[in-house]
Amino acid sequence: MSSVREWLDKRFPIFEVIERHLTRHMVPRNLNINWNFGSLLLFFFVVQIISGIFLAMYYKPDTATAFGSVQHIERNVNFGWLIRNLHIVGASGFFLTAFLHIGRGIYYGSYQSPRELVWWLGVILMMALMLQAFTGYILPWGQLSYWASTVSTSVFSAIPFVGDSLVIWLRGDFGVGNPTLGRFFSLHTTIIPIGIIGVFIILHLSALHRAGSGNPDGVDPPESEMIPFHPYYTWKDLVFILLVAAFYFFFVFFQPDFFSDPVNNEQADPFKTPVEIVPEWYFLPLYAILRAIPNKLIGLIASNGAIVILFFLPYLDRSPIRSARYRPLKKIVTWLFFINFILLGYAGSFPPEGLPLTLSRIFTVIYFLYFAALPFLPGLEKRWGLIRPLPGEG
Amino acid sequence: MRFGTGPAVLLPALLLAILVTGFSLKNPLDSPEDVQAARRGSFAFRAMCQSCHGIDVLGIKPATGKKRLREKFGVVPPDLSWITRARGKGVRGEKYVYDLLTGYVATKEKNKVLPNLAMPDPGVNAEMAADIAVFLRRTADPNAGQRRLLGYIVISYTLILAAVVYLAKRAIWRDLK
Repeated sequence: MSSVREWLDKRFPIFEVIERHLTRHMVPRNLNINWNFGSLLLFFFVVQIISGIFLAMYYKPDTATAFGSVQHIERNVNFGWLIRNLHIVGASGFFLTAFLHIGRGIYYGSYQSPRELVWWLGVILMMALMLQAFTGYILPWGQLSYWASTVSTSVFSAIPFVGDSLVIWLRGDFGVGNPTLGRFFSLHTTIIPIGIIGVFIILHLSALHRAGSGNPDGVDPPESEMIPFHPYYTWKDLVFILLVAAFYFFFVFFQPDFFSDPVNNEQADPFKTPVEIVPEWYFLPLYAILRAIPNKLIGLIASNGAIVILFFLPYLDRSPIRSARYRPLKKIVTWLFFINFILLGYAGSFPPEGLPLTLSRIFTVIYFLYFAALPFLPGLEKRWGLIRPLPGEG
Repeated sequence: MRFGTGPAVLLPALLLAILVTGFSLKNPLDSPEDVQAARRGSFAFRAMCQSCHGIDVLGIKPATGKKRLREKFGVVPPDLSWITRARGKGVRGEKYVYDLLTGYVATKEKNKVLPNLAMPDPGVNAEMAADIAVFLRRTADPNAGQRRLLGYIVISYTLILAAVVYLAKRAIWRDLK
C-alpha cells in the first residue's frame, strides 16, 4: 500500500488533495443545520447531471418531435418516468436549497471579509442556475415552455436601439421555434452545467477552503474549536442529505407534478395563448418585480438588479460583526426581508392587476429598501446600544 | 439524548408534506377495479370519442380526417394522450374529464365546465364517463402503480439508511466531548 502511495505521490497529487480538502481541512465545530445546504446543493447538482445524461440520450430537440420524445421517455424507456421525475423535482429541490443557502449567507454575514470572493462566486452560480432552469424549461415543448420562453425573451425588446435585434439574436428566429429549441438544448446540456456551474462550484469551494468556513457566531474560533471536515462533517452532511432525499423521493414517487404547471403537459401551440403564463415557482419573486414596474425597461433592470445587488452586499454591510445573532436590528430586518421575498413570490403568482399588483409593488420596494437600509444599521445599532456581547467578550 | 436539528426539522416536514398533499396507504391507481374500469373505458373511447379524437401514444388515430373536423367544428380536436395530466395534477385531471363529459346542459352555454365548448355532447352516461376518465388517466400516467410501489421501497430504504448513518455520525462525534 505504501509503495503504491509513494508511486502516486511522485506523479499525481491525489492524496495531497484529499488531505487538504477533507482530512486536514479544519472547520469550526459549532456549525448548525444552516451549514448543511452547501453539500446538499452538490447532491442535487450530481442528481441533475446524472439524470440529465440519461434524458439527453432519448430526448429529441426538434419542435416536431420534442413533446413526443418526452412522452416516449415516460412511457417506453425503462424507468424513464423515474429519471424524468428525478430531474423535474430535482430542479425545484436545487432552487429551494439555493435560496436557503443564500439566506444563510445573508443572515450570518457570510459575505463579509475574508469571504467576499466565496460570496461573489456563489452569486454567479445562482445566476447560472437561473439560466440553466430557463434554458431547460423550453425543452419539453409544452404550452408554457413555448409561451414562457416567448414572454421572457421578448422582455429584452425593451432595451433601447438594439432590443428588437437582440430578441431575434436570442431566439435565432423571429419567434421562438426550432433554432431556439436547438440552441437552448445545447446550452442546457453543455456549457452551462459543465462549463459554468461545474467550474464555478470548483472555484467557489477553492475560495471557501482558502478563507475557511464561517460559523453561526461569526467570530473566528480558537484552534481548539476546529475539527477536520472528514470524518465529522462528511458524516453529518450525509445524514442530512439522506433525510432530504427521503423528502425528495416522496415528491418523485408520489407527487411528481406537485411543483409543475399542468398546462405544460399540453403540446406547444403558437396559435393558442394559455389563459395565464406563469413561470415556475422559483422565478415568481423576480417575475413579480418585473411586472410591478409599469415601464418595461426599468422592470427588466429591476428584476435583474434584484440578483445583481447581492454582489454589493460586502460593501453595503460594513458592520464589524458578521452574525445577525449579535445584531438584533439586522436580525429583525433580515427576517422581514425573507418573509417579504416569499410574499413577493406569492404576489407574482397572480395576474398583474388589482390587489396583487399593488402588493407586489409594495414588496418590491421593501426588497430594495433592505439593501438601502443595510449601510445604516451598524450606526443605529451602536447608537441604540443594541449590540449583544460577542462570545469571548463576556 | 439530544436529537439533531436535521432529523428534528425534516421528519415532521416529511409528515406534513404527506398530510398536506393528500396521501392514502392504499394504491387505488393500480387496483384490479381500476384496470377493469380502464378496459371498459377503452371500449367506450373507441365507440364514443375516436371518431374525432386520437391517442398518439397508443397509436390510435381519429376516424375522421383533420381537414373535415376543422371544417365541421372550427378547431382540430386535441390529441388525448396526456389530457388528464394537462388539465389537473394527480387525479384532478381525471375528475375534470368526468365533469366535462357529464357537464352538458340544455342551455346556450352548452357545458358547465367549459362554456361554449366546440365539442357536441357525445351522449355518454355517468358510468361510461367515469370509465373513459380512468382510461385516459391510465393512458397519461401508465406507471402510477409501479411508481408508488417503488416509492414505498425507496423511501423506507432511505430512512433506514439515514438512521444507520445517524448512529454512525453520533459515534464519530462522541469523541469530541
